[in-house]
Amino acid sequence: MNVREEIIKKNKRRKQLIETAIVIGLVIVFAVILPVVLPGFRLRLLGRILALSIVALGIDLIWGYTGLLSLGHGIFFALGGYALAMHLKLQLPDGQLPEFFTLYGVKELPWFWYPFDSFPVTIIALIVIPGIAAGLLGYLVFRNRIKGVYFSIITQAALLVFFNFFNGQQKLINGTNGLKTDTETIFGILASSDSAQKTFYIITVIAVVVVYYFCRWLTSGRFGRLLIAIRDDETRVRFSGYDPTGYKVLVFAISGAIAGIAGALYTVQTGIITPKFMEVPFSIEMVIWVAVGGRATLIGAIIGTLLVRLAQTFLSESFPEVWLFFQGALFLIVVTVLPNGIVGWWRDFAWNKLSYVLGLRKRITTYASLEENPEVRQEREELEMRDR
Amino acid sequence: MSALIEGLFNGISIGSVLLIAALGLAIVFGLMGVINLAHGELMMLGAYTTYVVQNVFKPWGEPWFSFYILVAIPIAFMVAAIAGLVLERGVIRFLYGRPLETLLATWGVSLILRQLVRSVNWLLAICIAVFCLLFFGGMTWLSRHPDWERIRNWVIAILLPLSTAIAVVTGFLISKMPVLTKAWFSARNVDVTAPSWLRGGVKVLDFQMPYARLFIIVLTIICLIAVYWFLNRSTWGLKIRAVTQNRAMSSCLGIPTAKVDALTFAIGSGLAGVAGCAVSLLGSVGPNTGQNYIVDTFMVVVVGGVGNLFGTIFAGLGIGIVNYLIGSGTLALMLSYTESLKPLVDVLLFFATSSMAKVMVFALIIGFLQVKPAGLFPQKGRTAEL
Amino acid sequence: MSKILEIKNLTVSFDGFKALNDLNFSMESGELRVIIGPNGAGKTTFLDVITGKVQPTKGRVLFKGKNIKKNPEYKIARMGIGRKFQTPRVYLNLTVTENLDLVCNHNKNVFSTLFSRPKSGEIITVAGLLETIGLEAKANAQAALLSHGEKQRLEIGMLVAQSPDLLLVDEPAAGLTDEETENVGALLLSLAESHSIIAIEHDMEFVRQIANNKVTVLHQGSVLCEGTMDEVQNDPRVIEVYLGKAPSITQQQMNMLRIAASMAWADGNFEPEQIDVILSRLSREFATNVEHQDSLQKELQNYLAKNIPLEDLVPKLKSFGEKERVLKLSYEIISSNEINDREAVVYQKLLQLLDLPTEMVEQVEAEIDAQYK
Repeated sequence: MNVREEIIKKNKRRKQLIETAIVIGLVIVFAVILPVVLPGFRLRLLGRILALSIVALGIDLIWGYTGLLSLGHGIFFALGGYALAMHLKLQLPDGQLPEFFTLYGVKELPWFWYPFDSFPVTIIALIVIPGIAAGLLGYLVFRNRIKGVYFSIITQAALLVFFNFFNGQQKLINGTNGLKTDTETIFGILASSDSAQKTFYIITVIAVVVVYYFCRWLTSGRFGRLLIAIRDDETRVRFSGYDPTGYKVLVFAISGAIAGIAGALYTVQTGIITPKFMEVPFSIEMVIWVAVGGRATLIGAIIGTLLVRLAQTFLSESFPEVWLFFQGALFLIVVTVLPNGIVGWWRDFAWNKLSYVLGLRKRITTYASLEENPEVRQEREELEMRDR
Repeated sequence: MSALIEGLFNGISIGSVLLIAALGLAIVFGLMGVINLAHGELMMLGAYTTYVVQNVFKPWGEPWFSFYILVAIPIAFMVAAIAGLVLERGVIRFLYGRPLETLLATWGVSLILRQLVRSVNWLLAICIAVFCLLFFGGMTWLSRHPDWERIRNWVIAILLPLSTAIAVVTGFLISKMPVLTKAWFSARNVDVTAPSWLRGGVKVLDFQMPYARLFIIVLTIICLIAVYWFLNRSTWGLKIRAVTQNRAMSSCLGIPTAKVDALTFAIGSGLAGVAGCAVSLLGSVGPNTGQNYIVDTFMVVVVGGVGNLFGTIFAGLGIGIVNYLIGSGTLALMLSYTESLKPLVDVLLFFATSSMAKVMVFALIIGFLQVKPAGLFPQKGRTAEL
Repeated sequence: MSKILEIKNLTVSFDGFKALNDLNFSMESGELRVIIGPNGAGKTTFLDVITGKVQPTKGRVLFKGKNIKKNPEYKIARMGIGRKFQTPRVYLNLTVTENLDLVCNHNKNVFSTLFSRPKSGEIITVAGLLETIGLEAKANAQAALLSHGEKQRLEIGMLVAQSPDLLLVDEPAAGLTDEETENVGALLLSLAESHSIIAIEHDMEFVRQIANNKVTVLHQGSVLCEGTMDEVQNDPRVIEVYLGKAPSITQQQMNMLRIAASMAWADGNFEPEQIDVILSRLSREFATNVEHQDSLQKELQNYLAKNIPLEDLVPKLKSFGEKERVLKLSYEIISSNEINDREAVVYQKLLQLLDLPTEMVEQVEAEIDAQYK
């Protein structure tokens, strides 16, 4: 038994080492090599996609692990974006208002703009505000044990409501036109300048890694197992003495906060935030990134986002009409043919096939569950011994 | 007073559209636990069907043109029902027990339908027809093969790219003809002109009740009665109710649950088509028509609860009325005579636009769910949890 | 001993249908109580109320003297009530160890679950439990890969890991083989040494195995009767509920038959043919016609299967005539074959209890002796 445990530990350590090496390698590729190789606008595009992969991580947390499909992550994404955009808008000489206010005849800065004058407050706010919004919505829904499809369509309705609200309030937040960040400065540098964009890109890469490891930490311990338990059988969790509501609220809030970070990074690399970020199709699209990559695998969320978004860029550049057909088909195909996504398919099917072909593993002749059964394995070993 | 009646009337007429649309959704949700995100697009199909029927009737001139709407309603029902049937047989059937995935799949269908309406032309229609003929024809023909189960995956793997390629090549070959490439509807909105007898209105007190809206209310009542009769008086209705209550038991008793599912889905979709027909009378019709109604329709299902027609009726009319009363500012106006309610009036005035009213209604719905999480008429007993 | 669970005037109604109707129930701490009842008797609703899944319409549930009404499930679980479901419910995507570890966690708050690492005590508990439920070899296997019986054991293990004071077990023997059933029974009996247990069961064999104390019968939402297994099995109301009809003879007649039967049962073992002979003799005594005699004979096979002490039966005889009839029947049965020692002892006891005049006894005996010779 002890020997076996040691082997398991050793394997684990080796796996961790390999993984760290891969992550460091990827970070070098993305943060050092690509900025040199790619032209500025392509880099900006990549930065945007990486920012979106952060939301995908958040969605994976709430959907892949906890089993709650949120169709309203655009809210939290946009809240984060607005928070940072408001800060950029306020980089003005004293006493001056952002120019759009004068169009609507607003003389006084609305009260909620004031805190965003300070950079640290903005950074905290773009994480905390979406987190609180998500937590509050989650609390109101989860405490009544509303789940499944109901939860999904309520988040969708919430999304529409936020869209309507931001769209309708010209005097508070410039309504439909949104807030443009490209023409603003941050720390005295123009936000659309190459150096600023490169910095945003590097920050995005770092944020992806940090959020990824944060999600890893969340999902690996008891907490993560409890999330899976809630997904699989919430009633049992309750009868075991856990209150699922608290867990669900916390995960939803964290997921919202992650979306906020992503929204802020996406906004500065897009150059503008408008209520369009809260349109229904965009939020559902976020879910498909996770589905394509593979639910409940964090790396899948990132891979899925990269693949789908890159495909979208190339397809919609050349055939804008086909893209919607393609996207619709993607939803259908992933759900029916690849329910575990690319990573799931690789893990459950392709890797096995490949390792037989390469001769890394013996072909399983019976059922997998039977092969993995230690009792059966032992019996078989004994039989083989006797044969000799 | 007359403002209140006008508000109520307009609210009811908005609620009526929601109600027809939600009725289909609620029946399907009660039966299969599935929410169809493409429901709005089925409405849109109904609306476009009305448009097509109108255009067919136009050359025939007056006495005929007046009645096109009466022809359009059953045809819209049929078109949407057939689309729903295809959707159920082709996609949803494979996803039972996975409601969240169904949600995503139907969203995919909704995207495809929207783009289809935008870009459909003879070319695309011919390509699709060729593909269907080759692929499904081939599948049916080969399914008689004794080894069907074994070769099935291979057949799909070969047939799918083959028929796609042939369809695409056909498309390229005939794409030179300009008649074929002209879009049927294009992305622009189209207008349905109401027949003359639905224009104008009747004057009640000092406001106008448009005939079109009255017509929609009557249509809703007829649909309700028909659905009620169908569910409670017909054999298939009995079967639907049985499967809703206990799927496994019904199946054991020899009720063909797959057929019941398909039928219910088709009827639910057909109702969406009728709703689309009604919507086309209220304004212009575009590829995104369905999207404007769909979230409100979902809220009707959430508030109404499952398995009770009356829940849907109350919720639909309630949401419609509250939405209108707040959105049009009627409520704020009525309360403004009472001085003590000043702060409340201010709040109501803030929300007195049609988009801000949705914010308020959503807040009210969330509040309502705190009291009654399972809707107006929740199911009770041991099976309720399942 | 204190009461661990007390239920007073409990009513649960779903849209007017009363799943539980004015139910009263109480249970000592340390008891193993089996609850039986036909389908729809309200057994599962009963557990639902105790665990907080269903709120009572009326009445109170006291656990260790505290009212648990209005508490959510998780709080009740933390108070010390554990529940096992009818079909095993374990977390299929977690390994066996992870399943146990989750339940074992002492502090189930969100943040302590997030930040604290498993304590060494908990790790030891989990290891011990793995051994108890016999799943050491599969400790790292996904629960989805376990067989039905293994899942059943894992769930019981999870229940114990929760260290509850009261265990609620819903049909633990459902879907198990005979051997597995016996194992689960033994496991329950050993758990009963340190826990109070309520078990719901259909399988009468299994109930007989585990019911060492009291059995409660539920019917149409209220307690029909309560007592030892033997008492319950012979209660005509229970028989009626389970077999669908009341015995076709009166209670008094049944009582007489029981006494006579206990004569036959006295020597412990006899051939099936002998049972038939005795039963047909007894049924002839009370049957109204030939057909009734046949059906009665079948009925008696069910009713007279259990041995109730004479001391309980005899005092129920009311008149002198009844006593005489009992005497006749009993003597007839024992003299149908050679009277052995044990039969003689029981017969003497009966005579003592009947307390009839000696000359009358002699006369009856003489009459029957004459008949048989």
